[in-house]
Amino acid sequence: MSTLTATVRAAGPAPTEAPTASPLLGARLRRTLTRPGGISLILAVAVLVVVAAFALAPGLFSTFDPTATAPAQRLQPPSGLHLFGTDQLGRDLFSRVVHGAGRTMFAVGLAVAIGVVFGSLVGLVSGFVGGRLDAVLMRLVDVMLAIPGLLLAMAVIAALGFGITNVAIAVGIASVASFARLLRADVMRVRRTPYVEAAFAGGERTGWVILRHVLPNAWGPVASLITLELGQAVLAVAALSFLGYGVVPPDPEWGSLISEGRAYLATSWWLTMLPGFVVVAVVLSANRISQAIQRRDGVIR
Amino acid sequence: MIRFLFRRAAQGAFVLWAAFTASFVLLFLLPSDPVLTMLGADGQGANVDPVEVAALRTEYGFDQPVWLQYLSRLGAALRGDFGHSMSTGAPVTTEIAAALPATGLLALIAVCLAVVIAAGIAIAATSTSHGWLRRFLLALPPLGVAIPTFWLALVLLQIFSFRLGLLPAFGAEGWTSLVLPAITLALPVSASMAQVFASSLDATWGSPFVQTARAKGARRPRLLTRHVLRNAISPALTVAGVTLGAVLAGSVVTESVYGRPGLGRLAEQAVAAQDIPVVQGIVVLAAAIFVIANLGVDVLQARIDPRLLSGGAR
Repeated sequence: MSTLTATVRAAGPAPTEAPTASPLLGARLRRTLTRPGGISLILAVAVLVVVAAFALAPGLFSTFDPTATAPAQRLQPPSGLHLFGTDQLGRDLFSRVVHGAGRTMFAVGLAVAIGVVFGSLVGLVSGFVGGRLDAVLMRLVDVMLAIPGLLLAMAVIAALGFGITNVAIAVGIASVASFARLLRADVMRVRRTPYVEAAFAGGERTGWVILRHVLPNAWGPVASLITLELGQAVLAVAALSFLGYGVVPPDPEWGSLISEGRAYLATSWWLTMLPGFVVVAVVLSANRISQAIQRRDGVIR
Repeated sequence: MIRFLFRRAAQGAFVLWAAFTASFVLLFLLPSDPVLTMLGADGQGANVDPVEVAALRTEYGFDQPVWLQYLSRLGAALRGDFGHSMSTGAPVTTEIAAALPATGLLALIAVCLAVVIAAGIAIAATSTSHGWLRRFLLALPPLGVAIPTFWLALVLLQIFSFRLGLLPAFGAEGWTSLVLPAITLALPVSASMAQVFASSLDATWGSPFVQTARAKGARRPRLLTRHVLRNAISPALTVAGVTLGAVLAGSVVTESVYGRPGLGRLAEQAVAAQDIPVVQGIVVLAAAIFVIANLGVDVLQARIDPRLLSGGAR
């Protein structure tokens, strides 16, 4: 096996090559494992895959109904039957965390999507058109960056009202500025390259040049920011629903689960600690993957 | 230096104006009707007296055209009047001024603590010759930035108040009640500062002038204090400027968990009650803190590295 690893290493000069056919998957996995920090990267991917599975098919992982109360079983510490223990109404906490993943991840996904779409649009227009429009848009971005993300999101919630969708929109709006600034820089760099000039000289239409040449080449850094913002959005969504701006109480969601456990902090540590560990694991994983993408692209920030 | 400062101040004034305008657009033009919210009848509107609604609309100027509302509010804001809170009726500036000292003290302690922790980790990690110690120290900041502030607050409460009984859990009495909130605010902030500072120190240790000084026989402590620190500190200062905003945002959850009065608490309650003038006041205040902190950082950086001045204001 060690010789195989050695030959694969020798055969693959560039670790950045695109994913190829599945027979090589095992080799790729082994190569990642043997690299320094490779184990943590694979763990990070595994955590996100598990959480995505929780969100998509919670019934497969939970043994209890997340909203079924059982007064006789209230505030049980973690055990083989109740992995994360039970809450003040006897509900199984692990099932609530599993079922809460869907709501949290929906909000996180929506937030990141809003940030990517609107941020990229602003960045693209700003970087491509340039001039006065660029100046105006970038001053706006400066203002958004001047206000702390959580406060900006809270202001949006004050205007829109409560609810998990509004929380997601608020977090998304708060992240538009960083996507805009990042894509703008790369669009400006790509716009001046010879191949874009050649495309224009060849008489291609602007929209086509943007789609075919500018976007694919300016997209790289955005990929790592997406994973980074994924972690940040988990933190922001959890914080906002912890403050009570998110879901309506009986429905589980990670931030509100932790908030509900506050009243039992002195006696039942698992109610706040265990859902919190899940949040930390997800954020750590997203940050680790973002770092790996940056390394692959040779970006050092 | 004067011209540089003037330019920066003008940019800052623009940011403040834009923050005011953006929050006006966001908060006053969006669908939810502030008057109905205030009467606690948002959505139903069945048992609301139309005369009362009309009176309140006139009182707050909501019956006037939007641009007139904007201009009169902007004019009032320039004179330091941000209107009245819709839940208490007190002037927004009074509410904010009452909440500011508690958060200010907490933030000051937290920032100092964060700087000490970040500098300690970064300097120790980049100076040590033990590989394992370096790896351990550099693994801490990524962990720190992944921990939710509200959860960190609960963990600290759990350990130091409920398990060990060392510190009070809630309230704002005496200095002992400041310890946990300050640590809560400082740790996440120090983590991002330590990351920047450590990579900046690493880059400086490898630069040619440090090599030269080392070749001339300078020892590591002298290298660090004479040559490395001064050159590595600039990025850390930039991050420290942003830090104040992060501390302000962190104070929302921190004050909520520890039951302390302050700006964060005010913001939390204002959002919960859709108290729009107070929210706007806090948004503008946050922008002002950002502007002032960055102005301070710019001046400090110009003093540490005079090349920034001759290069013109960025």
